[in-house]
Parts: sequence; C-alpha cells; structure tokens
Amino acid sequence: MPDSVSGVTLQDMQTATSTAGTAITPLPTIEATQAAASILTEDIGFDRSRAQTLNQEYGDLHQRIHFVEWQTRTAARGHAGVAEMLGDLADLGFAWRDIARLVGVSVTAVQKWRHGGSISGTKRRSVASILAACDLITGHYGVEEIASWFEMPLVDGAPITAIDLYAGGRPDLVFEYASGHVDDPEQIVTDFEPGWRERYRSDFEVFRAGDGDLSIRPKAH
Amino acid sequence: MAHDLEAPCTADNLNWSRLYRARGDEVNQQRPVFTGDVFLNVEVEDADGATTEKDIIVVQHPCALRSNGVDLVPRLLVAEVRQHTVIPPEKWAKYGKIMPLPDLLPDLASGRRNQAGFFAELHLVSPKHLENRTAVLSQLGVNLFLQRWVRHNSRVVVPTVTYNEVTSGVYEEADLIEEWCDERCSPGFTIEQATAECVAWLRETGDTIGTMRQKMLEDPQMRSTIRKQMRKVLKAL
Repeated sequence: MPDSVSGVTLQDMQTATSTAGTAITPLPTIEATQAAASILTEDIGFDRSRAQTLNQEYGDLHQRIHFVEWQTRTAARGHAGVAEMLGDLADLGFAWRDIARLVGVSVTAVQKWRHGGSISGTKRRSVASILAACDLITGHYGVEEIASWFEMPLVDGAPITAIDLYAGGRPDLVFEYASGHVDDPEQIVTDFEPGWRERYRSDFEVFRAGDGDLSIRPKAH
Repeated sequence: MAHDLEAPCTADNLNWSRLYRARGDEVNQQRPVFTGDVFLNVEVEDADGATTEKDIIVVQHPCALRSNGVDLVPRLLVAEVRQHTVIPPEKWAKYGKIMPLPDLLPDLASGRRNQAGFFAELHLVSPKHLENRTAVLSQLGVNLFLQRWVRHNSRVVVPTVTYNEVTSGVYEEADLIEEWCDERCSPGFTIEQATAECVAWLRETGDTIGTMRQKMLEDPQMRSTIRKQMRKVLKAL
C-alpha cells in the first residue's frame, strides 16, 4: 500500500536497495515498521520546515498589519488637540519624562505643549501614535494598566522596558512582545540590545537596610 | 569584565543630552533641589572664611538633602564646577576625580560650553544661596554622578543599573512634586506651601494595606497608579 503522504511503497524501497550491486555490503533488511517510520520522519520533517516557513511569513505579515492598524489608529487619534492627547496619556498614568522620551523631545517641550505652545505636525503625530499604540495593545492583547505595562522590565536582570524599545525606534518589538507570539522575551531583548547580559551584570544588590531605606551591598557569593 | 566607570553614550553615537533633564531656560525652578543640580554664582565660604561666588553641583545623596522631607538641611555639600575640555566617552573611566558636564551651557559657542564638577574642590553652602539653577541631571545623569562620586571616595565602582534601583523612586518623587507645584503654585500659594502639601499627600496611605504613597514609589510597577491618583486629586483641588 503506498504511503498516504509520499506515495512510496515498501516494495519500491526494497527494490531500490537490491540494485546497488553485490560489491558492497547490502543494506540490512528493512522491516515494514522501520520503513514506515523512516517515511514518516521524512514527511514530518518536510512539513515542519513548511510550518516554520509559514510561521515566519505569518510573523512578517502580522508585523505589517500591526503597522497598518497603528497608522490608521494614529490618524484617528490625531484629530484631537495636543493638550487633550497629552491629558489622555497623563490619565493613563505615564510620567511626563517618559512621554518626552517616547516623542523624542525634552520634558520642557511637553509641558509647553500642555499649556498651548505650538507643536510641529510631525511631533503632533508622534503624540497621537503613542495613544494609538496603547489602543492597539489594550484592544488586541488585553493588557491592563498600560502605562505600568510599558514600564515593566521584559526580563529579569536587565531594566529594558517597552518604553526603551519604543523610544529606541523599535515599536515592532513592542507589538511583538505584546502579542505574546515570542516564546522567550529574551529573544526580543537580545534583538534590541545584543550585549545586554554583560552590560547589566552587577555584583551588587539592593536591600532594605536597618533604617528602612533602600541600600546597596555586594552580592553574597 | 570588571565594573568600571561608565559614560552616558558611546563614541559612535555621541549624545550628551542624555545626561540632562533640563538646561538653561528649560529648568523648572519649582522642581525640588536634587543631587546633581548645577547652580551658577553661589556664595560659598572659602577655607579662610572669606566668601566668593562659584558655580557648583550638589553632591549629597537624595536621601541626605532634607531633614523632614521638605526643608533642605542647613549646610549642603557641593563641588565646584569649572570649564573643562570634553572627555570622549571611552575616556570617562580615566577621569575619576571629576564629573564631566559636556554641553552644560548649550547656548554658548566657546569652550565655556563644556564644564566639569571637581570632586576635590568641595564647599558647604546654605540653601538660601541656591537660586540660579542652570541644569538638572536626568535619571541616567544622577546615576553616573553617584557612581563617580562614590568611586572617588571609596574606590568601589557600583554599576549604574544598581544605583537606578535605589534612586528611581526618589527621582520619581521629585517629578511628582514638580508637577504638583506646577499645578498649585499661584500668587497666593508659594512653592514651599505646594511642596509641603504634596509631601503630606505622598505620606498618606496609598493602598489597602496601609503603605505610604512615598514608599509605593520605590516599586516601579506602582508608580503609574500613584501618578493617576495624584492627577485625579489635583483636578479636584
């Protein structure tokens, strides 16, 4: 009976081995179960490669559609005035210094915009895009307390947060992290900052001292 | 690799602005005095008792600046700030006796634009003479400053990532007090009154288990909650 996937029969395989000639040691006789397993190994390996390719293609597609939706939401958010948009970010719990970092300006510039100062179209769009990113992440991935989520370190042992990714020009990594499709957040951190393990290694630790305040001491080895 | 003194940026990506939260006209004078603040023309007392005016940087750790959370201690330890050539990032570890302050005065085109705090030239000043603040360090700047100051005094180098765990809560507190003062100060309500009002609010319980908001700020995951609470209160006042 032909294998349902490859169409190869056990007889075909045994015929193939018998034509190899008598000068070399013949292959051991293949039991039917072993042959079936061999075919399955081949077929499943092939399908796995296809799945990996598909996974990669869908990952890329997902990223692209994230950006399309992000742009659409940015345009919608941009209808509001700057002071109103900044007020919305403040109500979500973002720090002014983090908003400034995300937009790429000083804290003073943000405070001026809050009080009616002029803003360029590019910067206005940048403010709208932060809100749009928050909308997208909370809407699709059920993230609660979005400002706190943005301030959460991605991994133990490094202070890298979604704010760092976004301010560092990698909103794609923010969406990828939020989507939960990355098995290990360390992959994202490594993609963002390859040398992070060494850079953030510390032989010191923070502890609460006898007076109740946070203090620093060498780690116990 | 052993820990060594760090720099705010790399040679292939120079960005001295990472050191500063605000400079020149950007400085909000309503922000509480903090470690690393730079003041111009401060009256200091020399060893012989005579007084002169110097540019200075506040050296004391944030927790040692105030006795009661509001009022600065009567004498503050500061280091003299003077012109200094720019130290490239890869050489910051070789200049352990100073805190480089490149681009401190960005409006100047001359060499005076670049300054440094000199750890060997210390003074005590009265808070009443701290009037003309020209720069506030960023969180990263404060951590770099503390790393260099502690190393100068102890030969111990603690990574800035560890300092960050200790200083980020008090830095956040300064941010909140600044925001509170921005909203509350008016001709009839002084900075001192607004600061005291904010500190009193921060010392109230902020959760269901009796934790002071001020303590809650030590936990980065609680900060957005406190900010939201504060902004709601400010709108209601």
